[in-house]
Amino acid sequence: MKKTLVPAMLLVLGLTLSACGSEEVKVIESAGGQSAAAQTEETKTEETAAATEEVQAEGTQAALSGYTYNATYGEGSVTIGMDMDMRPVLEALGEPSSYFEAASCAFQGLDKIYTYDHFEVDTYPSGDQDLVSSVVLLDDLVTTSEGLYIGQTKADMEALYGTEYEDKGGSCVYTLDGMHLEIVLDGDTISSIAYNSSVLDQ
Amino acid sequence: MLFTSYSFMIFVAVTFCLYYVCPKKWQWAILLGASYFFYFMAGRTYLIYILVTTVSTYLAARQMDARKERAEQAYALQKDSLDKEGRKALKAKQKKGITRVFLACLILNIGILAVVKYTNFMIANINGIAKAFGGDGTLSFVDLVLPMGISFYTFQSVAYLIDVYHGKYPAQKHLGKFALFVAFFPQLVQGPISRYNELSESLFALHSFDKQNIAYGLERILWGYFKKMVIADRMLVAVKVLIAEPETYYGSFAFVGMLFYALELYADFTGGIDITIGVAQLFGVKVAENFRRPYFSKNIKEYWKRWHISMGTWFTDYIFYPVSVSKPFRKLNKFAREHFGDHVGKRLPVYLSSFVVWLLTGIWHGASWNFIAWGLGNYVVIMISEELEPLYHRFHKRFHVAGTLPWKLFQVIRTVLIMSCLRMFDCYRDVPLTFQMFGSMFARPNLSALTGEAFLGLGLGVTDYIILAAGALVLFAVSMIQRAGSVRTKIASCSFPVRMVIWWGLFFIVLLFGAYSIGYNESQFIYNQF
Amino acid sequence: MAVETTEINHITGEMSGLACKPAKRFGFIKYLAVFLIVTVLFAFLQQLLMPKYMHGIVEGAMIAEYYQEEKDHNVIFVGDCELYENISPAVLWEEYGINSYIRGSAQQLIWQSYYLMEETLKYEHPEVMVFNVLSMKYDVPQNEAYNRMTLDGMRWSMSKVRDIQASMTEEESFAEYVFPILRYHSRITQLEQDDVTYLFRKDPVTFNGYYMRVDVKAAENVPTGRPLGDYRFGDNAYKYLEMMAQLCEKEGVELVLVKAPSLYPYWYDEWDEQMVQFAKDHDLKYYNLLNVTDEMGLDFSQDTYDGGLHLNLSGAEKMAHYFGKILQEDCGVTSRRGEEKLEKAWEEKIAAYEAEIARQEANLKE
Repeated sequence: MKKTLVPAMLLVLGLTLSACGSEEVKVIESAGGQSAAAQTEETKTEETAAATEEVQAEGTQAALSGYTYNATYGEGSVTIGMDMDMRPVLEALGEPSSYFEAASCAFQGLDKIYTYDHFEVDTYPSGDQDLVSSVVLLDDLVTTSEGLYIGQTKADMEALYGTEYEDKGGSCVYTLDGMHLEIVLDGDTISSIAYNSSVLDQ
Repeated sequence: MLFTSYSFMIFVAVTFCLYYVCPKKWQWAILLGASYFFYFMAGRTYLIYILVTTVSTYLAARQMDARKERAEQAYALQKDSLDKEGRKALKAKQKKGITRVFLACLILNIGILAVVKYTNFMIANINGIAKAFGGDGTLSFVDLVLPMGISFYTFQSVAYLIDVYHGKYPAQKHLGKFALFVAFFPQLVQGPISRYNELSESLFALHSFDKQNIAYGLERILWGYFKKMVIADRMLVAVKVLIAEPETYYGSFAFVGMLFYALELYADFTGGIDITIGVAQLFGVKVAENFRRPYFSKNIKEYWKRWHISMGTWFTDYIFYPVSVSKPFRKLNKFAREHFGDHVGKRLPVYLSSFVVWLLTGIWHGASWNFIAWGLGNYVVIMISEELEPLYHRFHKRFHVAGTLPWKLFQVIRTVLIMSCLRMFDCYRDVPLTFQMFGSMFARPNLSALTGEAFLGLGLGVTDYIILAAGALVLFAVSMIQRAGSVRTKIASCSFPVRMVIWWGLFFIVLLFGAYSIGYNESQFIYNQF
Repeated sequence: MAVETTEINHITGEMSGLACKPAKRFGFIKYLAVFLIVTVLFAFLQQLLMPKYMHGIVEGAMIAEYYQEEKDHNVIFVGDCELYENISPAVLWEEYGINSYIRGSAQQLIWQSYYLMEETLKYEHPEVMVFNVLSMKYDVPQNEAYNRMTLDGMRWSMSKVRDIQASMTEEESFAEYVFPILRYHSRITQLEQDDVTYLFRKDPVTFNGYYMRVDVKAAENVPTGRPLGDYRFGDNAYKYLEMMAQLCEKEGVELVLVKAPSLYPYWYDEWDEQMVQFAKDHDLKYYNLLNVTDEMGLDFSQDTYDGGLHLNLSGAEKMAHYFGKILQEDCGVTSRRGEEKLEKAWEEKIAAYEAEIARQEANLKE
């Protein structure tokens, strides 16, 4: 008995350990909200039910995930996470020092840029909401929640965020919960810090 | 390659052409090649798994047959020189050799299934237990491949192995043909779990181009696409929302979700099986039916004889019966009769073996607690209804409602509702949450939330609901007609123009109202992973 | 309770009750008739369901409009919204006698521009082809909806096939370009009056490819670009730019690169340097019109309709006035004033152009 069993067991073990990088088949369990995000922009002439977009917007209104930015402007302060609704940010910080909106070609809806002196918040339209697509630190008078600011060095960055980043030539990208913290380096010096939503991945 | 993908349609069309153009003696090889190609496209490493199962089962079965033959010869030679005891000892020794091969192969194949499917589940549980006892519970998960349809082909192979072991039929001598039996692509994704003796005849036969049969096959495929794309995939949009946001959609909406899922699952699973059977029929292969209007069942027991039939019979034949007649169970039976009297004595072993069956059925569906809870839920309901049998009896003696239409309707609705409730374990995939949601239906029904606006918030528009209602009505009507006889025979007997209107009408309905392409989420058959 | 046996019917194997077979010859005609009816119905439904792009988002109708043109232009502009909203061919004709056309569509990616060039050259041989370089910033397929608007209008040719293959995002499939009904079938529940009105005909939505807007929205607070990690354009984008240069050289057409004077999206100096270098290496002309907005007389408080992204009519006419001179003097594009047929065609076009200006201005006043 043992003679046949041992090779059999070994084979099982060998097989199961050899193959990695699974291409697991999705079942309904992977449903939750995921799908809605995959929805493409629909042309106005073939509007999908506005309801879907509502769901989409609500779906993304979950608790803040990834790296977040503690923004202060004047008296107001608020923690900004990617894909969050812009309304609470506006309520907390008040009118920005500068505002710009860019219509996307052929489509309804505007990408908006709110500049608050030292940082800028960009949004994208989703249903009847504007969701945050990125936060960019504009000068060395503001720091990330973890304490990083423009002008520091790569070593400072690694000390604060670790070394698990993707090196994209001139920039280092940390990914957390799908969002990215992109730090651009000019030589060894940090020249830009931006929080980017995964919607910008395309 | 999903059944609903363009690539699958092209793949079937190409295979179909090759199948009827090439010499008939190569038909099996074309199907095998196509099946392996199909499987390879699903995942590059999958082929290794299916090949191991195929070759090991093939060799073990051949080996068992060879041993049996040698044993018979040896026995014939030696039996005259042996006394009764000696003959018995010889037989036992021979049997032991065969059993050894059998067990080795069985353990190998069940072992592969168990490891790839349940390792991480076990690790999660060990971590959980460790945490409960103050440990840190940080065993890391293993990145394992879960080959598509592994549960289906493993069960199919295991049934074959057991049948050959028991001498039900001889082992297949042709490795290629056996490989085709294991990997036949239409049923690889989501079953049914075919039996070798049922499938092999039409699978290995030489098939000529049979217009009628092919027309039937195409008709069946179209019907499957209708169910899957027009109904299931559309319903899925709302189901996903309902499941994803339990804190918004509780109470009455949990009930709605339960019913929506019942429709979605039925249309998805039976639609998939229709496509399987239809595609097989294009190649002249007869795959057994897996459903018989399950939602018309009058009780759960009957339901399980009409829903996913091949799985139910598999568990009955290869788990329930063997367990029931196994030595420990016979002993238990005897013990129970002696100690608790006939009533309990008769039931205890049945209840115990049923417990094993439902536990395994649950686990087979998925490596998580919700499936186990679901399996045991079924078990509890069946056992309760068994126990209540005398009560029903008395009731029916008193009130003569049995057999009347309202009573039958009541039974059918009751069965559908109970099954739908149990399926909530499958929906929410979280046992405490399922209980919470089930409780919310009674504790905080929140009926005022059921507004038209709320329904439109589920991602479906008014027209979608109209299409769904119409689709469900068509399903119901077809099922009703089926009770009186085959629908397709009726269609076949119609005049040519009527037939064309029906076929092409269905084609255009699927084309226009199917929930496919961008804007809808490509969903896979729910049963893929089991 | 057991299932009644009468209810059990295994459908396979039911071969009885078939309709009797009619004569063979008749049978063939029968099937042919079915085939024809189904094909016609299919084609009709497809035509009905495809978006018409006649109102609202008219950008989707631009690519197809070209085929209605008399194809003998001196200059063809190829590119995205920075061309089709920023330069007026009517002014080029009136002031310089240049017969031009803009083959552009929303977010037209560089490979789409390349294949449109390739296709255009099958129909005609212009003296100059002008390409707007903004789309160099996109290296990979972007967006299904824009793809459809650019590709659906193209006539079938190998250029279109290759264009589709280069443009498809992961979620798209080639079959849905061959049979667009597979993509647009869900519009069956959202059909509009336009779908019936424009079932078999299309109205022009542009003036030789130019999309007119007369309204004004001043450019304010236009953000500067945030620093990038890597400014080099992608290899794929370069590949197609290279292919454009080669194609034009082979066909004997002068390729002119241009960066239109739109303030946003931001055009980095580092990008500009790369284009200058590419032009130098390939002996091409490259004009960054952002550097000459003053010479052009552009006033971004007046000449844009969306805050600096696109020019309005007044801006587009200024750009035509400026760039026409470049085309005439630097590129030697000849004036075709005096060609009777052309004069007549332009007379009609300019009348329509003026009428549209009047219509839009009247609308604005309301």
